[in-house]
Amino acid sequence: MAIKPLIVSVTSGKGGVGKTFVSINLAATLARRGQKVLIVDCDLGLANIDIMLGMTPQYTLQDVIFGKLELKDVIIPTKGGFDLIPSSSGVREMAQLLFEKIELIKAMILSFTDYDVILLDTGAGISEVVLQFNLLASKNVVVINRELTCLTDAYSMIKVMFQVFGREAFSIVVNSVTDEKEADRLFSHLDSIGKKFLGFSLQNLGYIVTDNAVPKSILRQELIVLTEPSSRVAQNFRRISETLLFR
Amino acid sequence: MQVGDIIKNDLRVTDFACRFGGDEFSAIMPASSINDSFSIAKRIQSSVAKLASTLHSDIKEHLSVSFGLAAYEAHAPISVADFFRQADLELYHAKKMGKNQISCVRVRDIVTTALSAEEKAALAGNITNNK
Repeated sequence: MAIKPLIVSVTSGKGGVGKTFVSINLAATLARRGQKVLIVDCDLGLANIDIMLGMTPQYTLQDVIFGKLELKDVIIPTKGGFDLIPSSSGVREMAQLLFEKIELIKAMILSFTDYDVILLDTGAGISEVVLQFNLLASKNVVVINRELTCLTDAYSMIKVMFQVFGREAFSIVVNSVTDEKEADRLFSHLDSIGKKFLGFSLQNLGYIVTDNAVPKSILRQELIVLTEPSSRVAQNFRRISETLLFR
Repeated sequence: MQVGDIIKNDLRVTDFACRFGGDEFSAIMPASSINDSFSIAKRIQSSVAKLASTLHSDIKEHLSVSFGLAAYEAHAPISVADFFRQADLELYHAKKMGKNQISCVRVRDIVTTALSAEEKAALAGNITNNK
């Protein structure tokens, strides 16, 4: 890889599309490939990576912003083989972070040069906080599914990143599809609208099929790519990680 | 008076500033992003801090400057009054967070209405018809 670390944001516009599911399973897949990976839970105020991994961290991003700790002090290793900077849930001030604090967090994230990949799991919506984390990342992975509201919000996210910051490169992951054909159709749909109205193409990063084992794994606070490495979902993640690193 | 001079100095020639009543000022920055306005706000903030450092300690601690930033999108059909209300809300938010803060409008509302009818129709269009 040319630039180290590769900073990737996982975003979507709409909530409940599977951003955090994609982030943690992608992180675990990358870690299995030998990459040194860090996830930052950027869903300030409604963080849930720690919950999805069944962890109860002692310190969070909140202790960095409102306390005296540094970002490196709150990093914890996870069972997925990657490191995590957890955030806090239900703290209103966190969701309303002022610009200055975001700049501070961004500067700290950029100082972690010993990681190969840093994944920023953003919150839903297109608030300034979400946009700033997307801006920090060199790659923006937009997670979509077949719902129209999700496609519309994903497109809005892409459009605002383009209009406000001039971003023209976005990678799409299509979640919860029946097969590759459906994923390609949804990708092409969004891609053609991007080309027509914004004037640039999107990158097809891959897809994840619907599998009953997914909700089960979330309920059990497990990583499906580790508990069922031969499943189609795990294969999908391997392909996404391949495309992410080498294309 | 001195703060007014600072604002005038730190803005660009294309910007326009005026007093908005009491100790509030308003600046319009055409063809700028929120990031541009943020860096200008930072510039004004540091100039005011420099001015404060020359003053007597009794006055010094009372001199601070807070900013509320809002962006007007060309495609967003919001009224001028709504636009100013947004900036004002952000200013209120900035002041609530303490002294010398900069708060920035959440762009969500602006952007969701910023999709054109054509874009919305295309998104809702028959997905299977798109190759």
